[in-house]
Amino acid sequence: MSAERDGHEARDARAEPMDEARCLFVFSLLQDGRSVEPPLERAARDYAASHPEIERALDDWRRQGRALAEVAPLTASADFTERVLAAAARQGTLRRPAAAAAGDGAAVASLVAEPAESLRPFARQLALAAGLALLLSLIVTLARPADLRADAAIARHRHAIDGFRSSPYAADDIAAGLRARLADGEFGARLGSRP
Amino acid sequence: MRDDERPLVARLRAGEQDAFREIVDAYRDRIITVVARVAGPGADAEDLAQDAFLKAFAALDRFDGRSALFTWIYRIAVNTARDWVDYRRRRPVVPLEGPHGGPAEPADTAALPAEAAEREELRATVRAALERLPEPFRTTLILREMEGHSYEEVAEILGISIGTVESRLFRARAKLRALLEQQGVRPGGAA
Repeated sequence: MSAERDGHEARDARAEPMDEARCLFVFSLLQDGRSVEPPLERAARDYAASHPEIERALDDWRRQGRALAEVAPLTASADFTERVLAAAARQGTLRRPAAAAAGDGAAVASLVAEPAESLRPFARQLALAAGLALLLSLIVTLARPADLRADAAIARHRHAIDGFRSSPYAADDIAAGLRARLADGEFGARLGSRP
Repeated sequence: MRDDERPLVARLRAGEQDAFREIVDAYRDRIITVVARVAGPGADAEDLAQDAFLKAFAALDRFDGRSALFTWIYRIAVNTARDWVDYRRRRPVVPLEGPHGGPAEPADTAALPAEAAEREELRATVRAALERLPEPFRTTLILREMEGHSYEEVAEILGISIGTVESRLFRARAKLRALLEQQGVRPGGAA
């Protein structure tokens, strides 16, 4: 049996004649309490009855399995939980140090303080510095007003209005102004039609 | 998600420290044990177990409840240990006392009665042979024989089909026996 899917094939009672590998595969399942088709189980038992090496192999399997099962489980060291919690706090997973409120594990509680708490003084100083910088920039801007420059459209209208006077100090000349408007290509007026 | 685990998972997702403590306290011995067994000698089982817990905590949002919370954390622990084994395999460390994979270190059996000493020696020999068993047979055998999981649980932990578990276990047993025979050991009696 060279591939993992051979396990499925070996379960098929019609697949192939019984041999040592297939027989051991069936017993591997039976030893673990798995169900096997009755004809397949019968064939495996018949094969095992006439092949003593199967029983030897199964005996070895049982003993090696027992040897592995007897290996004692491990126990965590006393501070394992605290170390994991402290690492989780550093990682930012813990958000509420409830142990501190419960009054146990005070040392851990100090280790697992939320990151936001430890950053709060720094954030406050940063906000204060940013506020001062904004205020200073506002004062400088107000103290040095920029050159005022009219919008291009306003400037054009202003030019058209200026056409009503020969100079900024002269009286309005409505007729001259209207003639100037009519001559202004941008105004778009045509003689003989309403603008 | 199992109904009885819903409140605990909600507390974990809310970042409640007491919930994390509850989980670590409940599972730590089993997680450390399986990590130590899968990673093998030379691994710091507590460091790997801590790593597994942290990975699980960081991935809590991805826990979909299709398996029990313990199974989910356990699977992360097994994968953490296997990753460590892969890492070590790529960057082998030559031990000062000799090349890896040599004869099993003899168990200290002087103070034990003869039968107990024999069993202790067999345990040590079988464990040493287990370390030489190639993956994925080694982890599959550990989960079944040492951790006592059912075929269904092994399949879920390793993310493989039941048929593959059946086949791997059969092959793992046969290979382990062959490795012991190479060492001149027959678990069932004299070689």
